[in-house]
Amino acid sequence: MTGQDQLEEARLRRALRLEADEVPPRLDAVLIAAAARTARPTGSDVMPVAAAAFAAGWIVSEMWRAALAAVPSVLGEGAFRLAIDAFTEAAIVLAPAATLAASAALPLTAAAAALIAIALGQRRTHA
Amino acid sequence: MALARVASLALPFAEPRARRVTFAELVGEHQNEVYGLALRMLGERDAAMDVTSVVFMKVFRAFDRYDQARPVRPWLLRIAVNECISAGRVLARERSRRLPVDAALELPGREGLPEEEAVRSEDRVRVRSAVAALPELYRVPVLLRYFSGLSLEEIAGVTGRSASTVGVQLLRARALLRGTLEAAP
Repeated sequence: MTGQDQLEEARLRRALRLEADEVPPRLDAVLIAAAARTARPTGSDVMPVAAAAFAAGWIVSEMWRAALAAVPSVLGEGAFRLAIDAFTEAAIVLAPAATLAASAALPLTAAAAALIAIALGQRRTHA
Repeated sequence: MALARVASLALPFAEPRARRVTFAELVGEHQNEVYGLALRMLGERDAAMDVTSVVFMKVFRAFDRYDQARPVRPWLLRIAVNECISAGRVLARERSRRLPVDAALELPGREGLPEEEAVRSEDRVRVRSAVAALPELYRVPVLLRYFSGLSLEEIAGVTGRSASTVGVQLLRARALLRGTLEAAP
């Protein structure tokens, strides 16, 4: 280690040390321990939350099941079948496009780059 | 309640010298170091005090799981560093909405100081500002080295990196600090 480094290290130590006016008031270990005990979630805290979450999930899933079962009778069998058919037809048409869009990131980028290059070339030609 | 709890606070912690200390002694012995580290990391007294309290609360809770055969200081500093990093990220988001970093560095005023002391104080301000501006990756080893006085191996133990990596980080950190301090007017 060079003298310059030692000087630098001493300067860092001097600058970073805690000054007398920065020393904090004494912490009360008893209060910290009490706060730690109070703030820690215990089994009795967690159980009602977990039970409530389970109950909410069960209620929502039952509501969905009932709603989906009721759709055909509300809409009528014919309308329901028509909606399902339309949805299926749309999915058949859109699925290849979605696949292409998902897998064509690189070719699309290349095409975009080529178009930009052509446009820039044309601008230079006209300029 | 307080007196009744004091007895239960006599929690043994292993020290390097195999001295068993109570939780209250641990707080008394290390609170300045934890607070100072947090203050230099965060630059705000209130935030540093909050972090110090949280660190000792975590220490208290983790007592049962702590291997008492190992020294307590690296473990304590590891908790402190992690807590400072978390608090620092939250604080950085708040500061970006509030005021520039320099203004948030709490440093003593120069009014009424003799000339020599004023110059020293100004140098402290510049060095602290430069350290505060270091990326977190370098700021942590710098503070553990030059504030806490840990060796490279001890810093490696606290940060979970190898001693050689810590050495390189300190070299880079000093180079960055040198650049910042030389560039400053």
